[in-house]
Amino acid sequence: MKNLCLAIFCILNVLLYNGKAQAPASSASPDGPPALPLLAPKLPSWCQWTVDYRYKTSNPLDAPRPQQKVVVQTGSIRHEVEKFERGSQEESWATGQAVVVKKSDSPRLVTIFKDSTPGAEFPEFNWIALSNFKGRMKIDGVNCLIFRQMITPLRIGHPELFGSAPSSPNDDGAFGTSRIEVTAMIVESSRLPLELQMPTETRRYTFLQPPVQMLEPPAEFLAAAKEGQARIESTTHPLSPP
Amino acid sequence: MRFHQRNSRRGVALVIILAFLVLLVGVAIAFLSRAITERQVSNSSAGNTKADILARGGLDIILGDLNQEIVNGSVTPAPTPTPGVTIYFPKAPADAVPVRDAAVAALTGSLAIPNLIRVSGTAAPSSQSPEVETALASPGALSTGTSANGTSVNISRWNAGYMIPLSNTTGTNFDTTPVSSFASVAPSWVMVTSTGPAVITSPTSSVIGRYAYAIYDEGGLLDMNVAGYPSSISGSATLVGLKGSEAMADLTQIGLTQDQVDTLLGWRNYATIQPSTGSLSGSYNLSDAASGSNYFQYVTTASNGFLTLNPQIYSNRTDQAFNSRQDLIKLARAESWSPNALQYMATFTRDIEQPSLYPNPNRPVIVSGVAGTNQNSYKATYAGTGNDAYGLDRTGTPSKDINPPFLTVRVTTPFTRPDGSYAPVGDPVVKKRFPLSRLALLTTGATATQSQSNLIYRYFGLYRTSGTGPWLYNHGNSTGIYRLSDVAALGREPDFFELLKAAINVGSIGKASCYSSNTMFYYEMGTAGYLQDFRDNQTALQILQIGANIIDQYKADDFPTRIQFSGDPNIPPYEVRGMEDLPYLYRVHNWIMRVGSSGTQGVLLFQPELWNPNSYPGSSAGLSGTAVPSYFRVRVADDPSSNGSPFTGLSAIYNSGASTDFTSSSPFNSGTTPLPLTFNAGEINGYWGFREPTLLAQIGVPGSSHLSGTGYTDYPVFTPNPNRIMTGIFVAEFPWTSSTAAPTDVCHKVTASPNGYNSCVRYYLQYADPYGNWITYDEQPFQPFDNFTMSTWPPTTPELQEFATTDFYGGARTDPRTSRWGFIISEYLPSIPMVGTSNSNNEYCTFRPDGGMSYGSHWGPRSDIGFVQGYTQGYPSIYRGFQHGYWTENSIRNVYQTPPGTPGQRYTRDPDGVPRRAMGGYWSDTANNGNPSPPVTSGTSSTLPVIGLPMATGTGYYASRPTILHRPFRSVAELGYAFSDNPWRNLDLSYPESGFAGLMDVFCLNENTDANALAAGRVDLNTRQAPVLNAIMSGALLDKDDPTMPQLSGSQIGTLAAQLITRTSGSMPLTNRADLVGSWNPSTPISSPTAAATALASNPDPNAYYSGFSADIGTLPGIDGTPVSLIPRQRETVMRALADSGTARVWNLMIDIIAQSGRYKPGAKSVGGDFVVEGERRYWLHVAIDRDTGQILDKQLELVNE
Repeated sequence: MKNLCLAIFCILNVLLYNGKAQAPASSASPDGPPALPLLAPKLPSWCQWTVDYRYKTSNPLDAPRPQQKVVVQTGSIRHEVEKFERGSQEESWATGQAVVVKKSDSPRLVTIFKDSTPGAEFPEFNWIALSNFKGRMKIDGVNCLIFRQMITPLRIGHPELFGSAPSSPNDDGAFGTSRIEVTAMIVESSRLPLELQMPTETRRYTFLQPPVQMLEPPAEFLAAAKEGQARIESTTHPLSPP
Repeated sequence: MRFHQRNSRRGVALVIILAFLVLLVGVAIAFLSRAITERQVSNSSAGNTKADILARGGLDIILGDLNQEIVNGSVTPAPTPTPGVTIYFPKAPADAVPVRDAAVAALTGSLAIPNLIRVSGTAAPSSQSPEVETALASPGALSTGTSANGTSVNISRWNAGYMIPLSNTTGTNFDTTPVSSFASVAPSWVMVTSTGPAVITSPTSSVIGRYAYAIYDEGGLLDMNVAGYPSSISGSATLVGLKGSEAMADLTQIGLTQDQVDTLLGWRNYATIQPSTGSLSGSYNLSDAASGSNYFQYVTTASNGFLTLNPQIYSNRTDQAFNSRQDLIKLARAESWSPNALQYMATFTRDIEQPSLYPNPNRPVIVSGVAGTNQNSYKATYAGTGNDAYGLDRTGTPSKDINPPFLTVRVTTPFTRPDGSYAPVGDPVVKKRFPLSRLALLTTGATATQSQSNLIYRYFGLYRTSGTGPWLYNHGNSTGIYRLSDVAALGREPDFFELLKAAINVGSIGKASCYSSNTMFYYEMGTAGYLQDFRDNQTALQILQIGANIIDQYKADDFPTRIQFSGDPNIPPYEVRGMEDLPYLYRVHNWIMRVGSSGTQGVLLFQPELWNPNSYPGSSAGLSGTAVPSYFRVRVADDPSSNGSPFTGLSAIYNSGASTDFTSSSPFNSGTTPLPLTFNAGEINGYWGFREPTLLAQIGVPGSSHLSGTGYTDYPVFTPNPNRIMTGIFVAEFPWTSSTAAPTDVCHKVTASPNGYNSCVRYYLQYADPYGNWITYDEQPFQPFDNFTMSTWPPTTPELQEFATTDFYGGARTDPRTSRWGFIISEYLPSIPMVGTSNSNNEYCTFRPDGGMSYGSHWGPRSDIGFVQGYTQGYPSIYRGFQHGYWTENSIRNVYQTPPGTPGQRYTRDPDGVPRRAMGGYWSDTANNGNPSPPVTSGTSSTLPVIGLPMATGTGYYASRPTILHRPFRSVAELGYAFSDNPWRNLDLSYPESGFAGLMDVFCLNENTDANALAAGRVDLNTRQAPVLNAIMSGALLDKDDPTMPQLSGSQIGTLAAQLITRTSGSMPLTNRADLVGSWNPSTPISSPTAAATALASNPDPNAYYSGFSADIGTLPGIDGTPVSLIPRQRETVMRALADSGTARVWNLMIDIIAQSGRYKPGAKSVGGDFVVEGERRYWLHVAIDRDTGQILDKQLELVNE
């Protein structure tokens, strides 16, 4: 069964991304360093994928850990569902800048705002570079690029601290001395992530068939987004241009 | 006998004939003699007339050459903003001053001739200075040589004006013999032929005369029609020490005794001073207080620019003035002054009271951000944030820029100026500097109509109908401030705020806290980061705030000036409040405790911490100001942005469960709840001045504050202080034990703001006005997103404690004086120690960057973008943090307190990419000897001085704090006291990179009624005369708040003067008096705004780009390492002393010309020695030339009678 899933995954990868804009800019020798970019810079506007979390230790924290995240995107509308331990989950709908979040343990809808600046979908991989490229490996029948590095765990937990552009893990001194070994597996053909391995956690990325219908946020989410946007705009009007 | 008679008759006839012949001969001789004499007289008169014509013609040629020198030394093409007007901006600072002859400049030490610029010479200075016109003097025609008929102009004659140092500097007989070096640079004759001046190598019959000249920098001297003060105020730190005019120059520094100064003033300012003793022919003793106060009152308020006499009449006498230099010399002889002192004295100086600010055209542009409607897009991508002027600050037409070259902005719609003069098309829009004395109109209860006929509206664009309401700003734009180029078409002069906008570097304001992440949450700034950032980015708002801060520096009371744009569409409007000597919101603590005797309830309180960071005025701990608010309150309510998502209080989780067991349901802000905290402050009689951060947490504390609010008694199980009555802004109560498993299941965790990111509250700090209205003078939105978790189990304290992960204990401002950058979440609040060991007034330490308090909030790796992204040590968490203490320095250096790992730099860039230093900027330099390397990696308050850090705590360090004047400005450089609204940065004049230096050029102290905006009594700040600078700086008050009234010492002013001369005599003459602070260093070539931005991106250190006297000050012997070098307001003493007495725009020159008519004798061979002098004329032309326009502002021709 596992092999079947992987095979489907690989087929989908090929179908979805081979030969499209997300493909590597150029090919390189199978034995040499890979061509840039190492990670696909952007995803199609219509896409969907999942991230599955596996842990090797029990939860030491008060807060539940994520189990799975499902992301579906059609144009500017994005739907995310993140499931946590102990049965809780967060669901969010993003329409433009407004992101409306609903937590399973609260009846309230929370609106936050993000700007529309395009950025990497997978900033937790921003540390990969030719300098930590370790070679190629066929994983479950898929050719992958392997990267490995000792990094601060913040690069995984909070990659936004490091900005949108890749930066050298050698500059992490100010983040303290704690380091973990992280291994990234990137599908060579699509430059999409396959797996991220850490000492206590593994994340598996599965890219699915693009949705065929435009997402339609539930009315309550749309209303919350509209209300939030109006609220912000009512309190922040620009003065005259200087 | 008859024969004898006939012979006798013949003898008589002979005698008669002989006598007649004698008479005829005598008549003939007399006739011839008279004819010869009259011919000689006639020839002499004709010769002198010819000489007069030669002299005047020579002066015209010299002035023409000087004008051409200006043209040659200016950028091309020179702007011609209106027909007939050309603006000449110096190509380089060195072109801002007249070129000194190389031989003159080479004279140093005792041989130096500081006043001499050049003489008529044979060596073309063009070899050194291409700007100077070719020399016209002929070789071999030295003026000190002897002519064919024995006349000469020896070096003593040349020094008849005493402009050259005397050979005998201590002599008293007024021997004019100059220092010997003058002989080596003495003028040569310019030979004039019938076709004009010509360089000849041999005598020629076409020569009709000759002239020679010397040009002196009279502008570098003290104008004796203005300078000096009577003995009654000599040494007064509060009168003389505040400077503000050349009248406050200490003439004893140039060799007069104070008695001689009194006599000078008694003669010159008799009617003004109204001396009680002395007479017209006698000496005066001006030691009585009245003479001093009369004089002080006049010179500090005079609007005549000292160009006319005070019309006052006293005892049938008026004031007098020197009409010529020869008058001055006569008085000096009569009063036995030291003749050597005359070289420091002028009788004719002119400045133009008009801004000529010329921003460097290659200054860096505002980086990143996109102006427009997309609110989020103001964020920066690399170098801090841009502001709302991104992409708009430079138009390609400099006169239309936000910071334009002032002289290029011209009237396009004619109008009548406030002084009644007509402003035609082409006139400068800003014809005169804006006098700060106009601020007197803005009293606390003043009102104004929205009409140009109302002076308040005309000068400030402000109006209101009620003296208790906020001022409304709308001078044609209800939501903004016009550029000067906009005003040019409006048929009026720019107002106060428009001038601030034009003068303040727009790249140095509008800084917000955004950074380059792609997400903005409310909680990122601890509070409505989105809203706060949006507000902070708007430069118009900061200009309005700066204006209010200036107004409240001037205003005597402590009631803040409130201003808002009349058409502000925001909810609530962006009202600004002027900075006063009042407590401000500094930190807020979210406090959870178990209460009551049975302990069944817990309560969440918001506890504000207030801080008045201003220094003590004198020894009083109360608030300064002639009238102060005394009754205050803090209230908290839902922020308008929370509409529809009100803050509801808290949720509580109990030990057994992971889900919320209790959620408060009552609206936080309904009816009369929550109750505010009320308290007293500010009275002189011992009430607390909040001079240290003070937590409002206990009823009645601090002492005498009468703090009241909802009170809660500690659960008494927890000692040691079971009886304390805590208070705060009540949020919600919750059961201490769960409803399902009481009493064993104790509350484990409390979460404030269960409504998540949406909920935002707003703090309001208010005072009661005399009518009982609560007036908000400080407010701050805050997103109280907080988790509290029991730190130990079972609990050992009545309060829940921070435990782990995402727990916050409140928020903090970087600078309590501003909401800019918001309340930053902070979990270090519980660890902040109290001031002292047994503080009973709840005073807490500041976030000063010594003694372990630098973290303030959170630390992280980023610095270049300005805002540290942080996380908690040892565990990842996400929130942006500040290292508050470092923002009091903002220096490019490695910090001495660093987290584990590589030391990093902690600074923030302004929107143009320049990291401008804050009030403590020089402190950090000293801490590491001015070097960023090697990094200072350790240090505590015991090993590093804290003088100079505005957060410094303790009575010994109050000089380092900000301060409020509460009186009219006495120097335009006192604007440096005003707060800029950039955290811990005033309108500083302490750093060469300052964005506020231009204020020194755009503003002045008093009105100027001269039609052409001229003023007398301004010293060329590029002077070479150290004693002149000494006189201006002598006695300058270092610190107005220090009861000991310290003044610059004699050795300090000597060192400062020498350094200023070193700087200006090199490659960095001042081009504008704002350059005293600093300017872009020409030794760092920068070709374009983009290149500047690129250079800054790779090397942000402002020292690499900017240079200025302000930076020199602290490096000088006797100042380096002392408080004067570290404390901005003491450091700026030099600026306050020099700014109003100085100019760097006008060339005030004295041209000493001697012209001789004549011819070469027959067979002449020597160009110099065979010239026959037939007539001579000598003039001293005093002339004021505007370097920026080339126009002659004024001149005085003085015929020299030798």
